[in-house]
Amino acid sequence: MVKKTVSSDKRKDTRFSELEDRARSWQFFKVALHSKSFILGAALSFLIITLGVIAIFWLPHDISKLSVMNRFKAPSFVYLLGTDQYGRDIFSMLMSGARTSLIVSLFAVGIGMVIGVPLGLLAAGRRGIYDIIFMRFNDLIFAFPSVLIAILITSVYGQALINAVIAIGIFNIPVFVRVARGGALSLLGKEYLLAARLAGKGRLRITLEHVLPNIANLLIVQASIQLSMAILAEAGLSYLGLGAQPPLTSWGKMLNESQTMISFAPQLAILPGLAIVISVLGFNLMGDGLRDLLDPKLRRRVS
Amino acid sequence: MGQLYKYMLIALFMTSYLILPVKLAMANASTNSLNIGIALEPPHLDPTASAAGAIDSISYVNIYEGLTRIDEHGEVQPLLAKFWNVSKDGLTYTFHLHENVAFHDGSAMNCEAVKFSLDRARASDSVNAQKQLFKSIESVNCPGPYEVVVRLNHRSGSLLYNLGWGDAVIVSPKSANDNKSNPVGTGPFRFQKWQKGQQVTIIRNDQYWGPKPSLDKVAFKFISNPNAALAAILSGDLDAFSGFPAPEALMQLMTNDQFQVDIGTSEGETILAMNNKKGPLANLKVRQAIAHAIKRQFLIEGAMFGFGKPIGSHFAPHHPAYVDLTGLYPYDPQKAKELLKEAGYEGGFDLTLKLPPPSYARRSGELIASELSQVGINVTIIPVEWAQWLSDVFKNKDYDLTIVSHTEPMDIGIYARDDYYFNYESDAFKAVMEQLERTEETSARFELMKKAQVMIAKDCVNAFLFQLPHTTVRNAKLQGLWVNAPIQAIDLTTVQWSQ
Repeated sequence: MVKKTVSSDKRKDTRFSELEDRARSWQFFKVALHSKSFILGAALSFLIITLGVIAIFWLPHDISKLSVMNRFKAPSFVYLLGTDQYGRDIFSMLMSGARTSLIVSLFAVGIGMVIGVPLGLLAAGRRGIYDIIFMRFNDLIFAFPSVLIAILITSVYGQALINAVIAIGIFNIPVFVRVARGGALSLLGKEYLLAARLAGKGRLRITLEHVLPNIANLLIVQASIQLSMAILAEAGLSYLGLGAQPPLTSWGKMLNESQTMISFAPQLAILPGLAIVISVLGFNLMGDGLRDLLDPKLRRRVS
Repeated sequence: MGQLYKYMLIALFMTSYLILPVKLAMANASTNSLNIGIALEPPHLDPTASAAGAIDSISYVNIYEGLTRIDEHGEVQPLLAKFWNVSKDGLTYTFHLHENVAFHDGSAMNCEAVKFSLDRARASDSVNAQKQLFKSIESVNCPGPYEVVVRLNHRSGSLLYNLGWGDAVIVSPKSANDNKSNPVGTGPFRFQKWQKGQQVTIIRNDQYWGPKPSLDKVAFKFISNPNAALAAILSGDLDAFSGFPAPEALMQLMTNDQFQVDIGTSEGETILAMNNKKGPLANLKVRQAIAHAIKRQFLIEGAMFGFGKPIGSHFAPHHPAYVDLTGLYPYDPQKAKELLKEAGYEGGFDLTLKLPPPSYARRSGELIASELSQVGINVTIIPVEWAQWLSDVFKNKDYDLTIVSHTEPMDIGIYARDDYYFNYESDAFKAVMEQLERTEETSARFELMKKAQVMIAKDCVNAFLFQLPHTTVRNAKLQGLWVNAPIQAIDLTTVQWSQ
């Protein structure tokens, strides 16, 4: 699929060269369609996303209405996966849990990107002492166990979903700082950046018009992996009772509530567990598939 | 792909942890120590200064002793008082104390200590949570070092029972002020250590005046989370759990030979308490509507997995004076809506529901919030920690609705208290309680108790939900724990490991 990459000696026209760079970055996604792990990952992610999006507008059953008479029903056409200890439809609960997971992880990864990427670009652009201080501080946050940060924040500011979002967001920041900085540094020597500077463009403009578009692929790949981590973190926090609070549903909370019933209703734990596995696997495979393609050697093999 | 495997491993680990709780209930018989779980951590360890039941669970007859005690069957037995005489007019009680009894701090237990303890508890500035227990006492005097004369201002049918409460224990004048953090009593166990948030440890008092207990060390561990409680029992970290918070797991434990499950009665009336002076809840019709919107059987099935008896007033169903008032406000959402309409709340309104940590409260709360939303009352659930519940709800009355179990025996009198957290005020009810205090004859007392039950049910002070069972899960080799809880206590004096 990918046309033969333009080697540097042929790179006479800087404008053309940048377009190639940029085109190449988007061609990954076309190439990716040939990677099995990417396709599987994308399919699983798509499944979870679809369920989560549908859950925003519609659920097969009203899960705010508890009906003890209907509890522990076996799977049927009415209740696709049966009902839980309060008579709620498990399938609806899982859909609603997917919604919670996706909203939390999207916002958390969003926080990481919105704060992390500018900081990373700043570090790459400034270099020198800023860069050193900045990155060491970044390492510090990075080294701190992420779930511990989350527990700290939620226990100080209370048990609410928003605090879980912030906590998960915070540990996404250093990841994006690194990716943005690394990506930007690799572009620093490029002629088109020099040309842009010669043309009189300011730092900000160069960053926005030339650097950012060229590292977008890296960021998207990283975001996909971070999404899976955020889903796992949200499930973990909710399992500990620090995330979603009633009446919100979450897979982690479902796991927590079903633990003592595992001897007679194991499906209550297995189903949300599977949902977590599917979504983490999905986003991870998708991200890993994309990342493999970024490796030039691998890319050649795939193309 | 390395990361992927990491996640798969984590997922696998989490799942296997859930599915295969390691069943290693280790016999602790050789060491003669006991690890027992209770749901709530006490705010401190002075039973004469707080209503929190967890204090009595740990300390009653283990650390502290009173003149009398209440046994497993709810009967009064002598303890520090060997025996007593009652004068013909019923107004003078003479208690003869055991001699050679020492407090854990070495000071002697004598009439002076008894007089000090009782005077302190009934003083006007006393912080005792159950001052009504001492209301009938006019004076306490010491004709001899081991002789206590208690004079009453009116005949009382319940003095000996009242003196058996944890709130009436005898404390040492020397150490009374430090009992909150360093409890000193005359009991068979002495306080050793309190690791906040985790456990209180007590050890055998080798100088004990009476028969020595078999156990030499007992740790009370605080676990309110059902998952953690079940895991601790299955893994053998706990030898017993008093007030087991996971009723759904009881069947699983019953079928396991390593464990014994005792389901007894408790004095715990579980209620949906309402702030009778706050907003819409000040309106009787609104409170009645809430009562009509709740189906008790759903709560008992859904939150308690069938373990619990429905109640219609603040009274234990196993008491002979119990009146079944569960039919007074039957489950009827339509009626509830009509009542709300009559009260002028047709469009519904918002309430908060503060839930303390025990699982019966958290789970019932979810069900009740759902039931109330059916009649148009929008309930926001606020989970709170126990200390926060005691200060916000119980002390400062900053709440709309809450769920809690009142585990003191015969505690219908709390509805006569000024400034109690229900914010209920009824002179008629107070008069009945006053009369009950002065009545000795059993059938007349029962009539008054019945009257009182009906009054608070009609006033719909709270929504009365169910009687909490007293569930104890224990290692099958552990013997001697109470099956029923006629008073808040975990009496360890006769608990032992069988060989």
